[in-house]
Amino acid sequence: MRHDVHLAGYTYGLRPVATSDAPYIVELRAAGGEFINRGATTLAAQLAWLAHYFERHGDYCFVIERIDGAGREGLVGVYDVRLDDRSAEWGRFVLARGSNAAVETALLVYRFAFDVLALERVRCRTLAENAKVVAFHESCGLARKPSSVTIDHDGHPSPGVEHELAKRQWPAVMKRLDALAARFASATRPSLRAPS
Amino acid sequence: MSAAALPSEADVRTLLRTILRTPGEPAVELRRADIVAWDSLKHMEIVFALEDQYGVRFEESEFAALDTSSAITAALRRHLAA
Repeated sequence: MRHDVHLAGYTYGLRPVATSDAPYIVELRAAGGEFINRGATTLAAQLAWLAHYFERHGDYCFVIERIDGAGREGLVGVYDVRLDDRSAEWGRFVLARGSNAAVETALLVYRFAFDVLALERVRCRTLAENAKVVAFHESCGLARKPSSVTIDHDGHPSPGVEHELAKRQWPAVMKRLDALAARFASATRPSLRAPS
Repeated sequence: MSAAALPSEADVRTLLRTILRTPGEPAVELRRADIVAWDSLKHMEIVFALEDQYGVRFEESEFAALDTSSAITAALRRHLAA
């Protein structure tokens, strides 16, 4: 959906996806590796996807970019926002190769979900084969749901893993992610470094 | 700094195993690509633990290359020798 949500962290920020991002999205997803749904592989298909997305309620797509103006580093989305049980899913998470934005992106996504949308829980579903991302969610402190899920991966039903973060767990997760993101900022902005 | 004070790869592997909670042969190189638990969050924890333990500061541009115990050892030695 069209939205005007901007979130700024220490090094990275989230801003709404725009039509002008379409070429970047195609390029980023093409380089994203085996676990990315192929999705829209041409500029025309991506523009059509975005046009449909702009009309879809409860769906927030963001570009991850550096707040120092150094450019875009990825994409992420919060979607399937359900007002009945105040839940949503996050995903469509693609980072440029070599990007260090994962931790701060997760922090900003959860901040959006819990502090802006006032949700009660957020889930994320990952292909079981994508072991590094499964590990990442668990390192963040998310609980793995015991039942397995099936994820459509390029038209093929594939085994998946679902994690969930409940609002009551958010403060502890925030503390951990925030500490890492703040410390990382000292590597990107030497002025933040403590005197040695 | 004298050569005796420089970290060995075994020292680095011990730190990595502690953070990653990964058992293994002490002499075997640890590679991020091979260890599921070495995810993006753990990578930051590793880099910051190395900085704290050895009193160095890595630049952001170095983070991605710190992906094996040998690469980390070499980077630490460069910083400590500088």
